[in-house]
Amino acid sequence: MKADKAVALLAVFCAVMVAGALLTDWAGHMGLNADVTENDDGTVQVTMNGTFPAGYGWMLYTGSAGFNHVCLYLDYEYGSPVGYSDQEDLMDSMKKYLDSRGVSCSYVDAGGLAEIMSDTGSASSTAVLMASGALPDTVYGEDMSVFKTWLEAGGTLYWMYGFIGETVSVRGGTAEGGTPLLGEGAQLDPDEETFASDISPWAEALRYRNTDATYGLSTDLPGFTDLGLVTESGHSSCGAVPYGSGSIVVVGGSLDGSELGQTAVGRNLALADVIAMGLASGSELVDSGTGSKGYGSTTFTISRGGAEALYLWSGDYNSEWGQRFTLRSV
Amino acid sequence: MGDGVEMLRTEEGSTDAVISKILVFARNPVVILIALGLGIRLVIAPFLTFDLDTHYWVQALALVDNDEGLYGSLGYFYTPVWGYVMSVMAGIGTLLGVTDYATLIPDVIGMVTGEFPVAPEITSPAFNVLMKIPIILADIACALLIRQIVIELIGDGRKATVAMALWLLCPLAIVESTMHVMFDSISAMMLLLAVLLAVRRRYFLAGASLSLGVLTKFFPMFFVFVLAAYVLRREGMGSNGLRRLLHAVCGAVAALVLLEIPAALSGQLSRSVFFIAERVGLSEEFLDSVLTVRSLVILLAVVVVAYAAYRLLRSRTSFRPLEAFVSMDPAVRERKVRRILLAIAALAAVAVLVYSVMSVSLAGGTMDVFTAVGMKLVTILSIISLLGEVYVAYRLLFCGTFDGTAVLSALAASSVLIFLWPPAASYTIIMVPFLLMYSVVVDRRFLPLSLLVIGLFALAELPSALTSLSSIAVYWGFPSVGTAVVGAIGFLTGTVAGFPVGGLIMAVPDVLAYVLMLYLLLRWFRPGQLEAGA
Repeated sequence: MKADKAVALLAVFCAVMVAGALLTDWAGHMGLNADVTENDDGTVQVTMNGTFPAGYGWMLYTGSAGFNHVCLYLDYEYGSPVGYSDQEDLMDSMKKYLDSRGVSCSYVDAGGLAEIMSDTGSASSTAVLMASGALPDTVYGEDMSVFKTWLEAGGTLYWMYGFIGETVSVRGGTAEGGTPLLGEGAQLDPDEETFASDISPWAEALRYRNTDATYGLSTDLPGFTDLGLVTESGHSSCGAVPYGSGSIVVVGGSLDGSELGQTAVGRNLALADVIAMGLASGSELVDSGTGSKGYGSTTFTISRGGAEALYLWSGDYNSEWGQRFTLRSV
Repeated sequence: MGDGVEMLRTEEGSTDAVISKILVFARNPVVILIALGLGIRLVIAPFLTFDLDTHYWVQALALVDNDEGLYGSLGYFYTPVWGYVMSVMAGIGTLLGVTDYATLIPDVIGMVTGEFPVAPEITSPAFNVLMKIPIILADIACALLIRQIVIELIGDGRKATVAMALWLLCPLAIVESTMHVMFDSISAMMLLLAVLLAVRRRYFLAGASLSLGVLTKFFPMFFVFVLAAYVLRREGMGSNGLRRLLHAVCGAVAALVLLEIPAALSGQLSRSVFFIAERVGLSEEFLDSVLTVRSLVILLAVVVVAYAAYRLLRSRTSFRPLEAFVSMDPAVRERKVRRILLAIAALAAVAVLVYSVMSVSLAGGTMDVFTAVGMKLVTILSIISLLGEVYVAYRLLFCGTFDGTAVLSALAASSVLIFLWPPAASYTIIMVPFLLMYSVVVDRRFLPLSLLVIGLFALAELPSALTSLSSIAVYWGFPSVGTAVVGAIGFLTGTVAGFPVGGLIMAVPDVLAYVLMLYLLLRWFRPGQLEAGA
C-alpha cells in the first residue's frame, strides 16, 4: 500500500461518512402514496406509487374508531412520574410518525385537554395519547366526570405508563392516592412477572414485539381486544377495553424503553400504526399480507371479506409510511 | 498494408503483455491470499448469520427511514460511524431492490426474555449480505495494512505476507465480520491506518484516522499513549516532537468535530457519544450538563492559563520537569515510574471501592454492596488498563533501541492490555492484528499461544453459531424453521442449574481465552520482553 493509497483509503472512508450523514439526515422515507379502488365483486384494487423499490403491507379490519384528530398530551407545568424529556421525545416522535401516516395531530396541555374533553359532542372524533403516567386535575380532580363523560361519549384514549387515575397531577406536582379508573387487577402490577410471551394475530400483523406488559390490561376484562403480547397471568403488552361508547388502549412497559433497549423504536412505530388505523376495543383483523415493489408503481388486488377499513403501510420491516382507507359499507 | 500488419503485431504484443501481466498478478501470493480471504467470506456471507445484532441494525435503520436521524428516538446507541455506513448500504440496497429486511417469528417471542439474548426477528439473507459487505471490505483493508506496516517497520516482505495471511484466515476475524456482522473490523482498519500514517510521519492524518477509529468503537482510544510516545520518540521530546504531536491532536479533533456536527446541530451530541461515555462510567445526563459551549470555553481557558503559567515558571525559575525526567538515570526513572503508577492504581482502586460501598450502604443490604463493588471492579480494571498503557508508552519512549520491533512490541502489549476486564469476543478484534504481527515478526514463541487465544475467542461465538442458519431457514426454507430457529434458540435459552445453556457454552472458551490473555500479559511484562526485538 503506497503512501497515496493509505490517504486514498482515508479519503474513501471520509466520503462514506459524508454520504452516510447526508442519507441519514435528509433521505427519510421514499415519498410513497397509494390509490385504492373498490370493485363490485368484493375486491379492492391497490396501486402503490413510488419511484424506488419498497416493501409494503396491508391489513383489512373492522371496528376502527372514527376519530380524525389525535391530541398529544404534554404539559411541563403539571407533575408527572415520567421524565418530561422522555415524554417530549416520545410525543415528538409520534407527531412525526402520525404526520407521515396522514393523521392530523396536535399538542395539548392540561388546560387544552379540559377544553377538548368538555366537548362531548365531538368526543368520538378525537383521540388522546397520554404518556404522563398521571391524569391532570383539570379532567380528573375531585370531579372526575370530565374525563369519564368524554370516554363514555365515544372518546379514545391511548395510555402509556402507570395505573390510570391512581396518580393525579396538579400544577407543579403530583398527588398519589387518586381513584384508579379501572378495577383491581385490571392492569398488571409491576411487581408481578411482567414479560409477555404469547403473541396475538394483531401483534403479528403489526410486527409489534413489545414483551413488557407492565401496567398492561387484563385480558379478562369484558370486551377486551388484544393488540399485543400476553403474559401467563393474562395481561397484554398492548390491549384495549371499551368504556361507555369510547375506548381505552393501554401500552405496557416503561416510556424510556429501558426494557426495550434498541427495539423501543419498533414499539413506537407499531403504536403509530395502531393509532393511524384507529384500533380500539372491538377492532378485528380480517386479513393481512406483505409484498414488495420494484421501481415505479405496482398494482395488486385483495379480497376485502367483511372488512370496513384497509390500512396500507410501507417499510423494509418496521413501517415508515401508512394510510388508512375507510371502505364503503356493503 | 505494411502499417496495418505492424499495428496488428503491436496490438498482439500489447495483448500478450497485458495477459502476462495478469498472470504475474494472479500468481502473486498477496493477490492469492486476498482472493482466498475474500472468497471465504463471500461464500459464507449469504448463508451464516447471527441474527441478534442484525435485528438491532434493522431497528436503527427504522429511525433513519422515519426521519429521526440516528438518535431522534431510542434505537441506536453507537457513535455515528456505523450508522452512516448502514445508511449508505441501505441506500444501495434500495437501489438494488432489497426491500425485505426481516421476518417476525412468533414462536421465538416467548424466549426473548430469557437469560440468553435472542431476537424474534430473523433478518433476510439479502439484508445480511448488504450489512456485511463494508465490514468484509474493512477486513481486507486490515490485511493490506498489516502487511504494509510490517514492511515499513521491519522491511521483511515474507513475514509481512505471513502476518497478513494469518489475519485473512483468522477464524475470529471471519466470524465477527461475516457471521456476527459486528463492525469492529472497521475500527481496527482505522487504527491500523493511523499506525501506518504515523510511521509515514503524516501525523495530522494519523490523528484523524485514530479519532475515526475511536468514534467507530472506542477501543482504539487505549492506543493514544503508545502512539503519542511513538511520535515523541521519533521526532524528539523537544519542541519539534511536541509540534508534531500537536498536528496529530489537531487531526483527531478535526475528525471528531466534523463527524459529530450533524448530531450536535440536532441537539443529540450526548446520545451520539453515549457508547464511549458509558464505557468510562459517564451518564447521558452528565454529558448533557457538560457538553455545552460554556464548558468548552472554560476548558479552553483552563488549558491556556495552565500553559501560560508553565511558560512563566520556566522563564522565571529553574522549573524543568520534562528535562529533569528525561535526563534522570534510567534505573532510577524506571523505579520511580513503576512506584508512581502502582500508587495511582492502589489509590484509584481504594477510592472506587470506598465510593461504591458508601453510595450503596445507606439504602441497600450486603448483597447490594457486593453487587456495587463487583460492578466497580470493571472501573478499577479499566483504570489499571490505562495505567498499563501509560507504562507501555513510557517503555517505548525510553527503550534502548527504537526500531520496528520495539514499536510492534509496544502496540501488541497495548492491544492486550485493553481487555484486562473480560471482553466480548467481538471486541477483541482490535487486538488480533497486533498480536499476529508481534508473534510473526518479533517473537515466534508467542505464536501458538496467540493463535490459541484468538481461536478460543472464536469458539466463544459457538452458541450464536448454532443459530446462524436462521436466515436461510426462514427465507429459503432449508433447514426447517423448527430446527434452525425455534429448536436452536430453544436449546440455547434452556437452563442447566439455573444457568442458560448458551451462556455456559460461551463461558468455557471465553474464560480460558481470558486466562491465557492474562498469561500473555505476564510474559510480556517480564524484564526485557517488551523490548525483545530491540
